[in-house]
Amino acid sequence: MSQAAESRAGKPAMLKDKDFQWEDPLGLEEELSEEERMVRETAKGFAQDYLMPRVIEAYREEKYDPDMLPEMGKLGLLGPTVPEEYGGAGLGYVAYGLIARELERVDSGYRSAMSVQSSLVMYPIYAYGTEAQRRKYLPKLAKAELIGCFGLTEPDHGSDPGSMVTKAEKVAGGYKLNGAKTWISNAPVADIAVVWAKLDGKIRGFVVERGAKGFSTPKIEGKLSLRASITGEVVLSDCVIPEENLLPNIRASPVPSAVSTTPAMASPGAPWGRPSSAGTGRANIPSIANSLAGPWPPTSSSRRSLPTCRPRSPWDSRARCVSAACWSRGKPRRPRSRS
Amino acid sequence: MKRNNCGKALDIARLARDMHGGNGISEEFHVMRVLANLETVNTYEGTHDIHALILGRAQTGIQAFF
Repeated sequence: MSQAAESRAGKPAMLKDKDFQWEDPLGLEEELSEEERMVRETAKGFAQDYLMPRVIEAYREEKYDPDMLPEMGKLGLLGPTVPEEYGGAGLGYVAYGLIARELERVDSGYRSAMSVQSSLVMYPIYAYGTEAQRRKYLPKLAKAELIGCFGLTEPDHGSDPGSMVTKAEKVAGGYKLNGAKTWISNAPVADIAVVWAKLDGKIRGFVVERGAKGFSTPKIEGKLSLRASITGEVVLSDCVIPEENLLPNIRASPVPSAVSTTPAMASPGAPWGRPSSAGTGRANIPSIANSLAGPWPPTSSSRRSLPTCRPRSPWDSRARCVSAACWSRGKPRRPRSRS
Repeated sequence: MKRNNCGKALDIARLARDMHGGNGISEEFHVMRVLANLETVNTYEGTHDIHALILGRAQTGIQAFF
């Protein structure tokens, strides 16, 4: 008798042992599109073949691997939520979560480096930047020709943007930044920093390029956790940046919602990410598909056709409730869709 | 979601460390590395305590942090 029939007959539908798939108890696999499975397999191959053999030494020696992000860039694994015209994959948050999960399976430090690049640097520049900023930075960030870091957390205020003290002031031709950020992943190796500071009492985002006067990024030594990732401070001491490096398109909210800040950082993918952003943008031909000829091809067995209409995950409404509660600082509102 | 995932992952990693006995602290078995990493993740992704305070405020209307 089928489970459904048992249920109709008034008996509880018990899962038989042989039906239970411990690796995928909620049947996530069935909800993924073919593209998403391909992305997942690419990320999995990279994580297991490239990262796994290196992780023990990287952790023991506290060694950041400068080749990791460029390798990921080659495979099209950076910026999965950013449209292809800016060098991303145009795939959406499900793909991002799948990539994050495969890296996290090896080491949180590797996943940190990736999530900072993809969702804390590329995404704010895409969402809040001008067209010129997008064109200037995103394609290079997607290939990891530029490494980015994200400066929110401050030494005396943690990640609470409400009490931020880093200040920006308008000067001739640009802005002068003063303040310090700490616990910034990738900072010591970053070419650009997305930094948040108060301009006339309002939080604004700025892109600071390596080489700007008064910009330094000392490394934080002696971490006994996340040793495979590199962490530093961002120190801004009368650091003057050009006018065009302000991210102009931040909404009225005092806290940029991409930063989802107060409770946690903006990495929607960690450790698993938003379970179902149903309907987030799917690419036409994702650049990630082009990378399948690379050294980490997906297995063909994982490519099965899917029904065109995907059921919404039963988690969806609950996830929305919780994130709305967290993000709105008390005022219930739906998180804005990020297609 | 993040709070629960991070908290549970940490609990599981601690249990796994225990189940591995002495091997649990050896780098070859990866368990201790994951456990140490998750301590950070609990703070920067889960922010377990901060989430609890925010959820508490959403449910009770009383803010327990300043």
